[in-house]
Amino acid sequence: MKKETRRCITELVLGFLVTAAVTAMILFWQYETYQENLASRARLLLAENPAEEVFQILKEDGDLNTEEVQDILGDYGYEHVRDSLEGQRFLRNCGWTAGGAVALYLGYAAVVFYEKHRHKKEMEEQSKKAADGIARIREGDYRQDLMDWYEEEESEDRILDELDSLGNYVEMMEAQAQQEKQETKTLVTDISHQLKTPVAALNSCFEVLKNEDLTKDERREFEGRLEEQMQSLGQLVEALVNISRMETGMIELKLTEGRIFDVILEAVNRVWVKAQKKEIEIEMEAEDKLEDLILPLDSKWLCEALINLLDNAVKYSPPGTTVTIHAARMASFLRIEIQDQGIGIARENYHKVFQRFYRGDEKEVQKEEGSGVGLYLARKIIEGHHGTISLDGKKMKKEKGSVFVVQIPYR
Amino acid sequence: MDKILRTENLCKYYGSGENEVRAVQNANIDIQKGEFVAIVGKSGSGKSTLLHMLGGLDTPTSGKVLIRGKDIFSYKEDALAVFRRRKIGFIFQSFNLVSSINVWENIVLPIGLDGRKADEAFVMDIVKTLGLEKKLHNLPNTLSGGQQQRVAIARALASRPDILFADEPTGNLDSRTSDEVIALLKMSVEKYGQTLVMITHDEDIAQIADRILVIEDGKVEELR
Repeated sequence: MKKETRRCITELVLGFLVTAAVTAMILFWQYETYQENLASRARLLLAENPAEEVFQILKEDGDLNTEEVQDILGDYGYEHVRDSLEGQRFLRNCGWTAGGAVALYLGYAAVVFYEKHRHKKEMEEQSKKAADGIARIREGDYRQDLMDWYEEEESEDRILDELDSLGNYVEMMEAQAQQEKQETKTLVTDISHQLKTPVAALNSCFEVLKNEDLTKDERREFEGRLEEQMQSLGQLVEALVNISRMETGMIELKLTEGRIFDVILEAVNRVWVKAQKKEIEIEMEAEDKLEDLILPLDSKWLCEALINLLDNAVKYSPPGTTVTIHAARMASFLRIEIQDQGIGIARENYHKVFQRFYRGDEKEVQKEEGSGVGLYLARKIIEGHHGTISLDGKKMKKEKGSVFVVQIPYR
Repeated sequence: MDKILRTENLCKYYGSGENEVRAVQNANIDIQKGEFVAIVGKSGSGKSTLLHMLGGLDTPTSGKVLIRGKDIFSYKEDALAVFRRRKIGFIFQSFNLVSSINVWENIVLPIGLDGRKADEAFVMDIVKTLGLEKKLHNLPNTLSGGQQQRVAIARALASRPDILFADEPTGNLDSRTSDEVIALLKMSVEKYGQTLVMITHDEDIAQIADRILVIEDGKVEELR
């Protein structure tokens, strides 16, 4: 507010100076005219032949100075300004000019004050609008009446637009918190559902073993089954722990600059033994430059994601086939294709395979171990790298097997 | 979650009587803030008509389009135009770049037309995200298709719209470039907290979306 007053005072002072200067100039010019008039009168008084002198005056400037004029006119009794008609006119003109200047200045001051007042009012109105908007956000109404606003006037200021964005942001944060809560709930439900079946199987196996009438062979068989079930339960629990950590934000991907090539190699090494047992080759096709490509990644988790993909490729491919990893640098993303010659995925299930706990109904899928977590986790991890994962439908139409496409930004 | 975009029994019919064409029939769509939704349909399925109505470019025969709970067609044309240029971004198959001005000028053009000054730091951030920083002084027709579409994306993002509508954004691109452009689009809308609605006939590309809607003979259904 103080700034406002200061600006107002500056405007008034400047206005005063300008008006005063202009007025002074006009007055000076009038005074000059008055003096010249007096001078010509004085010359006429001095002249022997006035008619001749009039022509002289019209032709050239008088050479009398102010004091001489005063002396001459004084001799005739015109000592004061008021004494001559010329002087009275001069004074009258001065009065009009000064009066006009004062009126002009007062008018200007009035405009300045009015502007200030109006500006203040506008500011108040605007801050009220902003305050109302903020109050609405606080009360949980995040939307501003933008459309009404746009209709009302095509306004220059964007306070409401900005407030609206703020409201949206707050709303999004709230919704996110809500959604996280909801997700945790469904996660708990899903997990308990997943655990029930193997635990029940374990239980029944155990019940059978309690029976003392079992033969040695029978006992050995059930003990073997028990062991198997324990193992798969252990694996499931491990997968579930990973998922829950991921979902509840306990795993935070820490993206640091790293060599993607090393991560891919590590993932290949980890599935190598399993692939060899099934006589499946893992081939890698990559440009030479790729070895030095550095991008923001979380090496542990990205490796986990790639292992899941490679593990699936090996798991669902018949012996003697090849899994190919193809890596190529695009304009901003690194594109990694993982292609196998296995059972493939039906078109209508493309988007389902990335859903949590989804498993195909096909008998080839069902006979393998799995909990429907691997691809889901892989997707989560890759999305955490701002990348994407999808199936290459065009290639899969032509060739047998699946082609997974992973894209990760490298800059 | 907040429903940023909703339609109620949205219909668009052309012609009448025997020749009536039902381009969109009773579409009820819910799109949440921050979502990436793909609307998949074959050509002639009504998907472009649907998108044009969602973006306020075309008026429906009946039904409503509600953006942030407000029926956009209940407003005057002028207000709708302001709303569209501040809150909605469009990306088209044919890029629609102005060929006589350079990349940077293309990107900030809509902001200038709205009488605003471009937030240079923000626009540069987008430019870097999309990998265009070395092409800023090029004219659009010296760029490849993929690069031109990046410019179009940058232009749509630069005015900070709440919702981005993309109509076959990769229709003119080869499949690997398409994958990358979609990945970029997804990354950008995530980064800037925007909602993306994409129309495509390419089911492969739609996989990357959070949700897929299928439109067939004017009827919209969710793919689960």
